[in-house]
Amino acid sequence: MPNKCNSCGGTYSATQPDGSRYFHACAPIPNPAFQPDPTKGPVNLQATIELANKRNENITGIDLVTKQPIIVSAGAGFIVL
Amino acid sequence: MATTPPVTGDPRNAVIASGKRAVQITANQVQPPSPLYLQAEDGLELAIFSPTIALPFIISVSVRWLRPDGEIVCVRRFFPCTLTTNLFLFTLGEGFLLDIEVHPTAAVTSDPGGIFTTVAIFRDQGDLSAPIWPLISDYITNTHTASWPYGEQILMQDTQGRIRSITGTAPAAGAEISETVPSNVRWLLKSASFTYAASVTVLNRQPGIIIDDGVNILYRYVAGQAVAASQTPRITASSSNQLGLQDGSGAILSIPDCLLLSAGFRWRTNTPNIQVGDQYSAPQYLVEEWVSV
Repeated sequence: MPNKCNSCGGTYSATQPDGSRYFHACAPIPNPAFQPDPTKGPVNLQATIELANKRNENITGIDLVTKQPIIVSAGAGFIVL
Repeated sequence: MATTPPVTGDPRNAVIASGKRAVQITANQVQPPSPLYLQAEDGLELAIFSPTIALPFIISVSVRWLRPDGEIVCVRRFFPCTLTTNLFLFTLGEGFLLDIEVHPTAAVTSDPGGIFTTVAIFRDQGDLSAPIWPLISDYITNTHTASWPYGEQILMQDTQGRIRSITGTAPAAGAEISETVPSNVRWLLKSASFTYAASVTVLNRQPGIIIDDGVNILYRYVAGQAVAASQTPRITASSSNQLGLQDGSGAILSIPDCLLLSAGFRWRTNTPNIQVGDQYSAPQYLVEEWVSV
Protein backbone atom coordinates (compact mmCIF):
# COMPACT_ATOMS: atom_id res chain seq x y z
CA MET A 1 0.00 0.00 0.00
CA PRO A 2 1.44 3.39 -0.93
CA ASN A 3 1.86 6.10 1.65
CA LYS A 4 1.38 9.81 1.22
CA CYS A 5 3.68 12.10 3.18
CA ASN A 6 1.75 14.82 4.99
CA SER A 7 4.80 17.07 4.97
CA CYS A 8 5.68 17.18 1.27
CA GLY A 9 2.75 15.45 -0.42
CA GLY A 10 4.95 12.84 -2.04
CA THR A 11 3.70 9.28 -2.47
CA TYR A 12 5.86 6.24 -1.90
CA SER A 13 5.81 2.63 -0.87
CA ALA A 14 7.72 1.74 2.27
CA THR A 15 8.19 -1.77 0.88
CA GLN A 16 9.75 -2.33 -2.50
CA PRO A 17 8.45 -5.04 -4.85
CA ASP A 18 11.30 -7.36 -3.77
CA GLY A 19 10.44 -6.82 -0.09
CA SER A 20 13.28 -4.42 0.62
CA ARG A 21 12.50 -1.42 2.74
CA TYR A 22 12.36 2.15 1.49
CA PHE A 23 12.90 5.17 3.71
CA HIS A 24 11.20 8.34 2.52
CA ALA A 25 12.79 11.72 3.11
CA CYS A 26 11.19 14.97 1.91
CA ALA A 27 12.86 16.90 -0.88
CA PRO A 28 14.15 20.43 -0.43
CA ILE A 29 11.82 23.17 -1.65
CA PRO A 30 12.61 26.29 -3.69
CA ASN A 31 13.94 29.14 -1.61
CA PRO A 32 11.33 31.91 -1.84
CA ALA A 33 14.04 34.49 -1.21
CA PHE A 34 16.02 33.32 -4.21
CA GLN A 35 16.56 35.95 -6.89
CA PRO A 36 17.71 34.36 -10.17
CA ASP A 37 20.62 35.94 -11.94
CA PRO A 38 19.13 37.03 -15.27
CA THR A 39 22.51 36.83 -16.95
CA LYS A 40 22.67 33.08 -16.38
CA GLY A 41 19.46 32.27 -18.23
CA PRO A 42 17.52 29.06 -17.62
CA VAL A 43 20.51 27.14 -16.21
CA ASN A 44 20.46 29.32 -13.14
CA LEU A 45 20.70 26.99 -10.13
CA GLN A 46 17.39 26.83 -8.29
CA ALA A 47 18.31 27.68 -4.69
CA THR A 48 16.55 25.46 -2.20
CA ILE A 49 15.91 25.19 1.50
CA GLU A 50 14.84 22.26 3.62
CA LEU A 51 11.15 21.84 4.33
CA ALA A 52 10.42 23.23 7.79
CA ASN A 53 8.44 20.18 8.89
CA LYS A 54 10.47 17.67 6.93
CA ARG A 55 9.79 13.96 7.32
CA ASN A 56 12.81 11.65 7.20
CA GLU A 57 12.14 7.98 7.85
CA ASN A 58 15.78 6.94 8.03
CA ILE A 59 16.66 5.16 11.24
CA THR A 60 19.00 6.75 13.74
CA GLY A 61 18.82 4.16 16.50
CA ILE A 62 16.67 1.92 18.63
CA ASP A 63 14.46 2.97 21.53
CA LEU A 64 15.86 0.86 24.37
CA VAL A 65 12.46 0.75 26.10
CA THR A 66 10.11 -0.01 23.24
CA LYS A 67 12.76 -1.77 21.10
CA GLN A 68 11.39 0.17 18.15
CA PRO A 69 13.48 2.07 15.62
CA ILE A 70 13.80 5.83 15.96
CA ILE A 71 13.51 7.81 12.73
CA VAL A 72 15.29 11.07 11.96
CA SER A 73 12.14 13.21 11.95
CA ALA A 74 8.45 12.34 11.83
CA GLY A 75 7.40 15.63 10.24
CA ALA A 76 3.63 15.81 9.79
CA GLY A 77 3.34 12.05 9.51
CA PHE A 78 1.84 10.11 6.64
CA ILE A 79 -1.38 8.51 5.55
CA VAL A 80 -1.85 5.12 3.93
CA LEU A 81 -3.59 5.46 0.59
CA MET B 1 72.33 -71.08 -13.67
CA ALA B 2 69.50 -71.28 -11.13
CA THR B 3 67.24 -68.27 -10.72
CA THR B 4 64.85 -67.31 -7.92
CA PRO B 5 61.27 -67.59 -9.11
CA PRO B 6 59.21 -64.35 -8.83
CA VAL B 7 57.12 -63.97 -5.72
CA THR B 8 53.44 -63.92 -6.58
CA GLY B 9 50.20 -64.18 -4.66
CA ASP B 10 51.33 -64.50 -1.08
CA PRO B 11 51.14 -61.06 0.68
CA ARG B 12 53.50 -62.20 3.35
CA ASN B 13 56.20 -61.93 0.74
CA ALA B 14 55.36 -58.28 -0.07
CA VAL B 15 58.07 -55.69 0.52
CA ILE B 16 57.29 -52.06 1.39
CA ALA B 17 59.17 -50.12 -1.24
CA SER B 18 58.99 -46.65 0.39
CA GLY B 19 60.83 -45.59 3.47
CA LYS B 20 59.43 -45.01 6.92
CA ARG B 21 56.83 -42.26 7.13
CA ALA B 22 58.17 -38.99 8.51
CA VAL B 23 54.89 -38.14 10.24
CA GLN B 24 53.48 -40.46 12.83
CA ILE B 25 49.80 -40.19 13.82
CA THR B 26 49.09 -40.55 17.49
CA ALA B 27 45.98 -42.51 18.21
CA ASN B 28 45.60 -41.66 21.90
CA GLN B 29 46.07 -38.60 24.13
CA VAL B 30 45.35 -36.48 21.08
CA GLN B 31 45.64 -32.70 21.59
CA PRO B 32 42.65 -30.54 20.67
CA PRO B 33 42.82 -29.31 17.07
CA SER B 34 41.78 -25.75 17.87
CA PRO B 35 43.74 -23.02 19.60
CA LEU B 36 40.52 -21.46 20.85
CA TYR B 37 39.81 -22.60 24.35
CA LEU B 38 36.68 -21.16 25.90
CA GLN B 39 36.18 -20.80 29.61
CA ALA B 40 32.88 -20.46 31.39
CA GLU B 41 33.11 -16.66 31.24
CA ASP B 42 33.50 -16.67 27.47
CA GLY B 43 30.63 -16.45 25.06
CA LEU B 44 29.89 -15.62 21.47
CA GLU B 45 28.66 -12.23 20.28
CA LEU B 46 26.65 -12.40 17.07
CA ALA B 47 25.85 -9.16 15.23
CA ILE B 48 23.61 -9.00 12.17
CA PHE B 49 23.42 -5.82 10.07
CA SER B 50 20.67 -5.63 7.44
CA PRO B 51 19.70 -1.98 6.84
CA THR B 52 17.31 -2.48 3.93
CA ILE B 53 16.47 -6.20 3.89
CA ALA B 54 12.84 -7.16 4.50
CA LEU B 55 12.25 -7.93 8.17
CA PRO B 56 11.91 -10.22 10.01
CA PHE B 57 14.16 -13.08 9.01
CA ILE B 58 15.85 -15.83 10.98
CA ILE B 59 19.53 -16.58 11.26
CA SER B 60 20.82 -20.05 12.02
CA VAL B 61 24.09 -20.46 13.90
CA SER B 62 25.71 -23.89 14.16
CA VAL B 63 28.60 -24.40 16.57
CA ARG B 64 30.75 -27.46 17.31
CA TRP B 65 33.04 -27.58 20.28
CA LEU B 66 35.06 -30.15 22.16
CA ARG B 67 34.14 -30.48 25.79
CA PRO B 68 36.80 -31.24 28.43
CA ASP B 69 35.41 -34.76 28.75
CA GLY B 70 36.30 -35.42 25.12
CA GLU B 71 32.81 -35.21 23.69
CA ILE B 72 32.27 -33.15 20.54
CA VAL B 73 29.02 -31.27 20.91
CA CYS B 74 27.09 -29.62 18.10
CA VAL B 75 24.38 -27.07 18.71
CA ARG B 76 22.23 -25.12 16.30
CA ARG B 77 20.46 -21.98 17.45
CA PHE B 78 18.06 -19.67 15.69
CA PHE B 79 18.02 -15.90 16.08
CA PRO B 80 15.08 -13.79 14.84
CA CYS B 81 16.23 -10.52 13.29
CA THR B 82 13.58 -7.85 13.69
CA LEU B 83 15.73 -4.72 13.56
CA THR B 84 18.26 -3.26 11.16
CA THR B 85 20.99 -4.07 13.68
CA ASN B 86 20.63 -7.15 15.86
CA LEU B 87 23.01 -8.17 18.63
CA PHE B 88 22.91 -11.54 20.39
CA LEU B 89 25.08 -12.97 23.15
CA PHE B 90 25.19 -16.62 24.06
CA THR B 91 27.51 -18.93 25.96
CA LEU B 92 28.62 -22.45 25.21
CA GLY B 93 30.42 -23.60 28.31
CA GLU B 94 33.99 -24.75 28.73
CA GLY B 95 35.79 -26.42 25.85
CA PHE B 96 37.63 -26.03 22.60
CA LEU B 97 35.77 -24.26 19.82
CA LEU B 98 35.97 -26.27 16.60
CA ASP B 99 33.86 -24.40 14.06
CA ILE B 100 30.98 -21.95 13.58
CA GLU B 101 28.65 -21.47 10.64
CA VAL B 102 26.06 -18.72 10.10
CA HIS B 103 23.37 -18.54 7.42
CA PRO B 104 19.77 -17.38 6.91
CA THR B 105 17.14 -20.08 7.29
CA ALA B 106 15.09 -18.96 4.29
CA ALA B 107 15.69 -17.17 1.01
CA VAL B 108 16.37 -13.56 1.97
CA THR B 109 18.89 -12.20 -0.51
CA SER B 110 20.91 -13.73 -3.29
CA ASP B 111 23.52 -10.96 -3.36
CA PRO B 112 26.24 -10.02 -0.92
CA GLY B 113 25.82 -6.47 0.30
CA GLY B 114 22.53 -7.08 2.13
CA ILE B 115 23.22 -8.94 5.37
CA PHE B 116 26.56 -8.57 7.10
CA THR B 117 27.39 -10.70 10.11
CA THR B 118 30.13 -10.66 12.68
CA VAL B 119 30.90 -13.23 15.36
CA ALA B 120 33.39 -12.60 18.11
CA ILE B 121 34.44 -14.17 21.36
CA PHE B 122 32.98 -12.19 24.21
CA ARG B 123 34.27 -12.34 27.76
CA ASP B 124 31.97 -11.43 30.60
CA GLN B 125 34.00 -8.99 32.69
CA GLY B 126 31.29 -6.73 33.96
CA ASP B 127 31.91 -3.16 32.86
CA LEU B 128 34.95 -4.25 30.88
CA SER B 129 32.99 -6.69 28.75
CA ALA B 130 33.96 -6.42 25.14
CA PRO B 131 34.51 -8.57 22.08
CA ILE B 132 38.06 -9.83 22.36
CA TRP B 133 38.56 -12.09 19.36
CA PRO B 134 36.76 -11.57 16.05
CA LEU B 135 36.05 -14.85 14.31
CA ILE B 136 33.62 -14.06 11.48
CA SER B 137 33.16 -10.88 9.45
CA ASP B 138 31.35 -11.63 6.20
CA TYR B 139 28.15 -11.29 4.19
CA ILE B 140 25.63 -14.11 4.16
CA THR B 141 23.25 -14.85 1.31
CA ASN B 142 20.85 -17.61 0.33
CA THR B 143 23.81 -19.70 -0.78
CA HIS B 144 26.83 -18.25 1.01
CA THR B 145 27.41 -19.06 4.65
CA ALA B 146 29.82 -17.25 6.91
CA SER B 147 32.06 -19.65 8.77
CA TRP B 148 35.05 -20.03 11.05
CA PRO B 149 37.84 -21.13 10.87
CA TYR B 150 37.89 -21.56 7.08
CA GLY B 151 35.77 -18.57 6.08
CA GLU B 152 37.07 -15.15 5.14
CA GLN B 153 37.13 -12.04 7.27
CA ILE B 154 36.24 -9.12 5.02
CA LEU B 155 35.33 -5.46 5.31
CA MET B 156 31.82 -4.46 4.36
CA GLN B 157 33.00 -2.92 1.09
CA ASP B 158 35.40 -5.71 0.13
CA THR B 159 33.04 -7.60 -2.13
CA GLN B 160 30.50 -6.88 -4.83
CA GLY B 161 27.35 -5.23 -3.55
CA ARG B 162 23.67 -5.93 -3.71
CA ILE B 163 22.03 -4.90 -6.98
CA ARG B 164 18.83 -2.98 -6.32
CA SER B 165 16.24 -1.39 -8.56
CA ILE B 166 14.52 1.13 -6.31
CA THR B 167 11.22 2.90 -6.83
CA GLY B 168 11.51 6.29 -5.18
CA THR B 169 9.02 8.90 -4.04
CA ALA B 170 6.70 10.49 -6.58
CA PRO B 171 6.83 14.13 -5.54
CA ALA B 172 3.78 16.35 -5.35
CA ALA B 173 3.05 18.58 -8.35
CA GLY B 174 5.60 21.34 -8.67
CA ALA B 175 8.07 19.60 -6.35
CA GLU B 176 11.46 18.06 -7.03
CA ILE B 177 12.69 14.47 -6.75
CA SER B 178 14.98 13.78 -3.84
CA GLU B 179 16.34 10.38 -2.85
CA THR B 180 18.43 9.88 0.26
CA VAL B 181 20.92 7.09 0.92
CA PRO B 182 19.50 5.16 3.89
CA SER B 183 21.22 4.90 7.24
CA ASN B 184 24.03 2.32 7.49
CA VAL B 185 24.23 1.92 3.72
CA ARG B 186 26.62 2.88 0.94
CA TRP B 187 25.37 3.23 -2.62
CA LEU B 188 27.01 3.18 -5.98
CA LEU B 189 24.46 5.08 -8.09
CA LYS B 190 24.50 3.65 -11.58
CA SER B 191 21.45 5.16 -13.29
CA ALA B 192 18.05 6.73 -12.73
CA SER B 193 15.04 7.22 -14.93
CA PHE B 194 11.86 9.27 -14.54
CA THR B 195 9.47 11.42 -16.52
CA TYR B 196 8.84 15.11 -16.23
CA ALA B 197 5.41 16.31 -17.34
CA ALA B 198 5.53 20.04 -17.99
CA SER B 199 2.24 21.87 -17.57
CA VAL B 200 0.72 24.12 -20.21
CA THR B 201 2.41 27.18 -18.77
CA VAL B 202 4.61 28.50 -21.55
CA LEU B 203 8.15 28.61 -20.20
CA ASN B 204 11.29 26.58 -20.80
CA ARG B 205 12.25 24.34 -17.89
CA GLN B 206 15.79 23.09 -17.53
CA PRO B 207 15.91 19.83 -15.50
CA GLY B 208 19.15 19.20 -13.70
CA ILE B 209 20.58 16.83 -11.15
CA ILE B 210 22.38 17.61 -7.92
CA ILE B 211 24.44 15.32 -5.71
CA ASP B 212 24.84 16.54 -2.15
CA ASP B 213 25.98 15.22 1.21
CA GLY B 214 22.70 16.23 2.80
CA VAL B 215 23.77 19.86 3.06
CA ASN B 216 26.57 20.77 0.67
CA ILE B 217 26.34 20.43 -3.08
CA LEU B 218 28.99 18.09 -4.49
CA TYR B 219 27.96 17.91 -8.12
CA ARG B 220 25.51 19.53 -10.48
CA TYR B 221 24.54 18.87 -14.07
CA VAL B 222 21.89 20.51 -16.22
CA ALA B 223 20.24 18.84 -19.20
CA GLY B 224 21.40 20.18 -22.53
CA GLN B 225 17.90 20.64 -23.81
CA ALA B 226 15.04 22.56 -22.24
CA VAL B 227 11.61 21.08 -21.65
CA ALA B 228 8.86 23.18 -23.19
CA ALA B 229 5.24 23.48 -22.13
CA SER B 230 3.15 20.30 -22.38
CA GLN B 231 6.16 18.08 -23.08
CA THR B 232 6.72 14.89 -21.09
CA PRO B 233 10.27 13.71 -21.67
CA ARG B 234 11.73 10.64 -20.05
CA ILE B 235 14.90 11.75 -18.34
CA THR B 236 17.74 9.32 -17.76
CA ALA B 237 20.69 9.93 -15.50
CA SER B 238 23.76 7.82 -16.11
CA SER B 239 27.48 8.14 -16.59
CA SER B 240 27.21 7.22 -20.26
CA ASN B 241 26.39 10.34 -22.22
CA GLN B 242 23.80 9.16 -24.70
CA LEU B 243 23.32 12.42 -26.48
CA GLY B 244 20.91 10.76 -28.88
CA LEU B 245 18.28 11.03 -26.18
CA GLN B 246 18.39 14.81 -26.23
CA ASP B 247 15.13 15.36 -28.06
CA GLY B 248 11.62 16.27 -27.04
CA SER B 249 10.87 12.75 -25.81
CA GLY B 250 13.99 12.21 -23.80
CA ALA B 251 16.82 13.94 -22.03
CA ILE B 252 20.02 12.84 -20.40
CA LEU B 253 21.58 13.93 -17.15
CA SER B 254 25.19 12.98 -16.76
CA ILE B 255 26.41 11.71 -13.41
CA PRO B 256 29.97 10.84 -12.43
CA ASP B 257 31.20 7.32 -13.05
CA CYS B 258 31.64 5.21 -9.90
CA LEU B 259 29.47 7.60 -7.91
CA LEU B 260 29.77 6.33 -4.34
CA LEU B 261 27.36 7.87 -1.87
CA SER B 262 27.37 7.47 1.92
CA ALA B 263 24.37 7.41 4.23
CA GLY B 264 22.56 10.75 4.22
CA PHE B 265 23.88 11.77 0.80
CA ARG B 266 21.21 12.61 -1.75
CA TRP B 267 20.65 12.71 -5.45
CA ARG B 268 17.90 15.10 -6.43
CA THR B 269 16.56 17.06 -9.32
CA ASN B 270 16.88 20.82 -9.56
CA THR B 271 14.68 22.46 -12.13
CA PRO B 272 14.93 26.17 -12.79
CA ASN B 273 11.53 27.49 -13.92
CA ILE B 274 9.63 24.49 -12.55
CA GLN B 275 5.93 25.34 -12.44
CA VAL B 276 3.33 24.42 -9.83
CA GLY B 277 1.53 22.21 -12.34
CA ASP B 278 4.65 20.30 -13.43
CA GLN B 279 4.88 16.70 -12.34
CA TYR B 280 7.88 14.45 -11.88
CA SER B 281 7.13 10.73 -11.79
CA ALA B 282 8.49 8.40 -9.14
CA PRO B 283 12.11 7.74 -10.13
CA GLN B 284 13.33 4.23 -10.81
CA TYR B 285 17.00 3.95 -10.10
CA LEU B 286 19.73 1.35 -10.08
CA VAL B 287 22.23 1.12 -7.27
CA GLU B 288 24.81 -1.28 -5.94
CA GLU B 289 24.45 -1.36 -2.19
CA TRP B 290 26.68 -2.31 0.73
CA VAL B 291 26.13 -2.33 4.44
CA SER B 292 28.16 0.49 5.98
CA VAL B 293 28.08 0.64 9.75
